[in-house]
Amino acid sequence: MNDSFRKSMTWLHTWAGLVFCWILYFMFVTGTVGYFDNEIDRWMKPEVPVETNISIDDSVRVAENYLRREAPDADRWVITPAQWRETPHLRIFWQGKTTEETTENAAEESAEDAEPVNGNEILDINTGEPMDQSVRDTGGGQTLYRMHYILHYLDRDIAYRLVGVITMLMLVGIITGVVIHRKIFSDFFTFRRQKGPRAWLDMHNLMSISSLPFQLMITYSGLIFMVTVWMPGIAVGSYGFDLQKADEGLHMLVNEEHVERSGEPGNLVSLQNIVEKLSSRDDFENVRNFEVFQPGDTNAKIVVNVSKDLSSDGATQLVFDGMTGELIHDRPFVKNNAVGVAFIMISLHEGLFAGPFVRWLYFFSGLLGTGMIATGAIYWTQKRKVKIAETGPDRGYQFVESLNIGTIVGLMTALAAYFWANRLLPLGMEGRADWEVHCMFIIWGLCLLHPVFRPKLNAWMEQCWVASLAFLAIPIVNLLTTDAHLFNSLPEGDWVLAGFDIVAIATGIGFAIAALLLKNRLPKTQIVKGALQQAHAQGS
Amino acid sequence: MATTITPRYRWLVFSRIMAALIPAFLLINTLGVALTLLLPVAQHSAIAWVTLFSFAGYCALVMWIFHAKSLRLIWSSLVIVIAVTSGLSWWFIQMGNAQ
Repeated sequence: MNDSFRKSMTWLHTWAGLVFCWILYFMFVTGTVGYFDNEIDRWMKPEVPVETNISIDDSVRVAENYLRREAPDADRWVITPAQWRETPHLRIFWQGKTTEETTENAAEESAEDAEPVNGNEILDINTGEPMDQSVRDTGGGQTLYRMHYILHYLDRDIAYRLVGVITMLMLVGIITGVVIHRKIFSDFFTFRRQKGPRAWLDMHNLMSISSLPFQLMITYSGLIFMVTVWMPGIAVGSYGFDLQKADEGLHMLVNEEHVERSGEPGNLVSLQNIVEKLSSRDDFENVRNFEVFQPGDTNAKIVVNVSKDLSSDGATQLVFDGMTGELIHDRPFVKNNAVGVAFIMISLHEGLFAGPFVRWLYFFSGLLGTGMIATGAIYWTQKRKVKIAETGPDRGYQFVESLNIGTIVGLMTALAAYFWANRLLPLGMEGRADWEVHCMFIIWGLCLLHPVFRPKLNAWMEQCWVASLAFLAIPIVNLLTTDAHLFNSLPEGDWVLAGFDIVAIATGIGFAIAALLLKNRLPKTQIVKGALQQAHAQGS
Repeated sequence: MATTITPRYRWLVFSRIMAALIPAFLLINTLGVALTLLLPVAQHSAIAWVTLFSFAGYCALVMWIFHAKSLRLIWSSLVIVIAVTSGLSWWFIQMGNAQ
């Protein structure tokens, strides 16, 4: 659109960045806290006991007993032993039997029982029965982290497509951002201590460049994550729109076990037997889960997925005969290098392999991304401020400024509200978990309305105070409502629970500092504000 | 952009947004399909590689659309490439089926 490539790209960077930046900010906030989803779960479910040091043997024994009793004739069992950070509890899933009857019914869409009956439970290792989690019905950290790609209220198909467009805009934003910074390294070391648009731009550059590899990785892997939703056309088209062929092609990329029933009832080998065989392997500690296909049939097969570090999703796959317990295959899950690359990207995105240090690094990189979006959006308004003071405020400017305040600060208050709701909503309440989320979005809505009725700089300051108080009060609300408070968690050295409250306090202090800085700036900008009000008076 | 916002400017931007959303996305798909059929590797493997890089290609294409000077150049290029690549793919698939 311009003679100079850099100028065109600056234009594209500005607008591709701005157009959905508030949803992108929401994705970054919920995604970043999502790196601590299990820790947040822990804090939001203080009544659920913590189980540690459960051996794989115990997990498998308890799960096997339960599944043999409750779902002997299922199509598939999945047993995920309790062992890692992201698997704090023994979790089982079973896929109900698909019979000819259910297939027929499904075709006719007649009966309700057309769908095979699936099950999903968290088992108590001591009793062997499903764990009672109903004391405090909560969405926990999982609901919060899922928001970064399903946006919660929208229909899932619409949400995925919207998220796809926004992620693509993010990619365009990153690449154009790199292109327009010829002096990328000198910019990195440039931070002018001054006010106004230039300081915001410097901050935006500092945050973006310092976390550039992370931002690029998280964006591209985000696209890869849902490649089947966003870019299925190449595969389908390549097979001449023959969906069956495309499906066959897909199955050539990974090793997937597909087991047909023989129809003869079979006696499944004890899973303990399999665990015993596994225990001599070097990678026994890395066993991720056990899948049993057609457990009640003579064709039964047992698949053990073993993950290794980065390629956790493209794990090693061990296949055992379900009757004899004999090892049939020891092979990688992935059969294709491109898919291998894709799985490494997905693993990098999820960061499940990360220990505490790398996890915090992920968290801070996410915060830098969040800050990058925020400073970019603020820079857009700052740059226009001077011009606006001359020509009078236009609607677009007012709109962006209000959205900025209500999202950049307001969403954080809403996040605090989500945690408040977890502690304050009555325990027996109907739809309690849903209302936690409603509380979050109601508060966000109010925060979006507030700046419409206030002078903008005052609105920034007021919202910072509110966010500060909302976060500082979290440990207090926690103290008043549960036993999971700092006076218990610190002496016990429970750093997950204590860490949550400490981060809440730190966030609260951060917003208080921001509010104080804004307060100092209020009188100095009276001139601009006066000009704005004058212009506004003239305009109306 | 220092330019004042005229109806013509709005049109230039709107047309490019539309081009980037629909034909450009279509082009990445048709070009991708053609590449999977042309590359000298197994088809399923080619699909995986091409799909992996498709977002990078889409990004580059969008950047070109917002840099190229004339709308006519943008739209005609998009239409021609879509037509050629889909025609080529169609011919390849027909040949494959005939064998």
